[in-house]
Amino acid sequence: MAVKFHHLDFVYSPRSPFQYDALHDINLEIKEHSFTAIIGHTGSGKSTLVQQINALLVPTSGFVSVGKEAVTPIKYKKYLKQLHKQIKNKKVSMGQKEKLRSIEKDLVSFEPFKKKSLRSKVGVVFQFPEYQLFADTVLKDVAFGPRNFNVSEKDALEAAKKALELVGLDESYYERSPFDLSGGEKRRVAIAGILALNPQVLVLDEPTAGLDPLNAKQMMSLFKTIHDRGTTIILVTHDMDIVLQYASDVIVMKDGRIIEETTPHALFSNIKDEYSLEVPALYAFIRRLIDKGAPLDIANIRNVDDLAKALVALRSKQ
Amino acid sequence: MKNISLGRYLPYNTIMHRLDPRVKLFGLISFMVLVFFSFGDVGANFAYYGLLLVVVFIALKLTKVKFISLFRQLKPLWFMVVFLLIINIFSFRNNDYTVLFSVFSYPIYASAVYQTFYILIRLVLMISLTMVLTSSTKPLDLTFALEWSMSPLKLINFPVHEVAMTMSLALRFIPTLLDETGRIMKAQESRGVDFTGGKISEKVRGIVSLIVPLFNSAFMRSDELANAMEARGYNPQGKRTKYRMLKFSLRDVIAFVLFSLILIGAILLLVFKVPVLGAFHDLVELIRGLF
Repeated sequence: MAVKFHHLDFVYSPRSPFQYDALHDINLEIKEHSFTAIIGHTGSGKSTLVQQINALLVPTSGFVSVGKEAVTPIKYKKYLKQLHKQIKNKKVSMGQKEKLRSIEKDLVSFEPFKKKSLRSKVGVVFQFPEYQLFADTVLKDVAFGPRNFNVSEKDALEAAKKALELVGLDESYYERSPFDLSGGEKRRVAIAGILALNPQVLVLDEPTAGLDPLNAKQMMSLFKTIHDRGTTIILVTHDMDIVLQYASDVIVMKDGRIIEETTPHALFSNIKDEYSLEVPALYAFIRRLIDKGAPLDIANIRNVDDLAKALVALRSKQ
Repeated sequence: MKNISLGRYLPYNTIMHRLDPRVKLFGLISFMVLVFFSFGDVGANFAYYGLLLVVVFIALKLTKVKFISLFRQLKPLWFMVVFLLIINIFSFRNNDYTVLFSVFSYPIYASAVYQTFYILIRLVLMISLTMVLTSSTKPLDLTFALEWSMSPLKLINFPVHEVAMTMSLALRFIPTLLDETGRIMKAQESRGVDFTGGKISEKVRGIVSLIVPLFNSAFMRSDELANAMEARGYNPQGKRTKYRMLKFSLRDVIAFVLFSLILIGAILLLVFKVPVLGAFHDLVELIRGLF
């Protein structure tokens, strides 16, 4: 399911002393089945951007579409009318009108969104999701999501069991209290709580923050498995190694704008100072090898294992 | 969560803001006492409350409190006032049987209506006074003032410092907990909870899913905070110095004397039933006679 942003602006508490312009004119398409990483500094608007996708935050102008559904600032029909009015208004500047016309043109081919159906399609895993646990047993907590979407209790428990299996927690966890688990296990339960909804788009806001390296690695390979099964993944992260290893597309944000849409390879091969990013050690190392004359295909090497295999192949050729 | 303006500190620099928090606290308490005076006579009471309203109005103006935010605080009172009026009408017990008017031959006594009106005006006065204090005083200054004014209780081994510290920590964590609430709400909303609509059973489930994590994180936070304080050698019994010292200036002394005089004056009026109020009464009668 593709996610598209159409001239989206977002302002926190508009027309108040706390007004803060978080997103400016975002135009973006996140392709179906992609593994898109969103990177950028703290405060660049990454989290605000992903919260628009399942209408936890609603755009101030423009809209975001998920499949056929469009999340608009006000009710769909009203927004169309408002756009129409603004386009006719003489006080609105030409540039602004151009933008509004293009929003209107895009919007007519979509349908108004329904909160429940949208949220069953788009699952959002927040930063430190373990804070959302509340039920007395792990199984009940994971089944809470499906139950909210009017799934029968039996089916909800079934979905919960499947999700728990996916995150690698076996039957012995079902009846335990989520508050007695370790940090890593808690996070798995919380993520299972979203996976049980079987979302077609999975949004992950720094899912590996605060985990030890082993747990982080397992977590990422879990997301890779989910991605391989056809789920679109949108990952907000600071970790460039993860971007190199897993992402198919990268979006770089700065000050509420998208400054580049690219692939990990293209990003690291031509890094710009304004991004203030750190090139992953592995990538830099391969670069050095190539500079020294090793004929490696840099675009296909994404982790240490790949590099080892490539080097072995290289040696056997010689 | 948009309406939490009661007690929000407004960063202006008015006379009220510059006044020592201890004096302001004293002023609040003495005016609170004044609000509950009753002179037993309708005319005198009205004149008295009118005077207080004028004083409070001036205080609000001095503090630059927006009247809109005051009215927003007063809105929920309407329900209570109607409720009180109904109770007062049915459970009236007083010697004054002046009938104001009758509804279906059921007499509505004037004093029942007056009683309700007194309660309403007292509440309005109290809320306005509290607003003057909280919007002109930083929460931390307020706790300093409370700690200072409770310090005589140390003699009977009352843990004044601990209470003040607890209060300032509680105040400090209100915004943090609000942020936390917002975060958890969003997380549960993306799991399909609808906090705004839906059936009652769904709403209850939603609220449980909000409260449990909130309590959990509040306890965790307080545990961590306690550890952090102990790690830095915090000892509640220890003698402490303060970074910000409160000092009385001339302005504070004048205000203190003024507040005391008003309080004493009003008490004297009440105790000796000074004829000044009688004059007020005559005035009211005179006006009433004109119609």
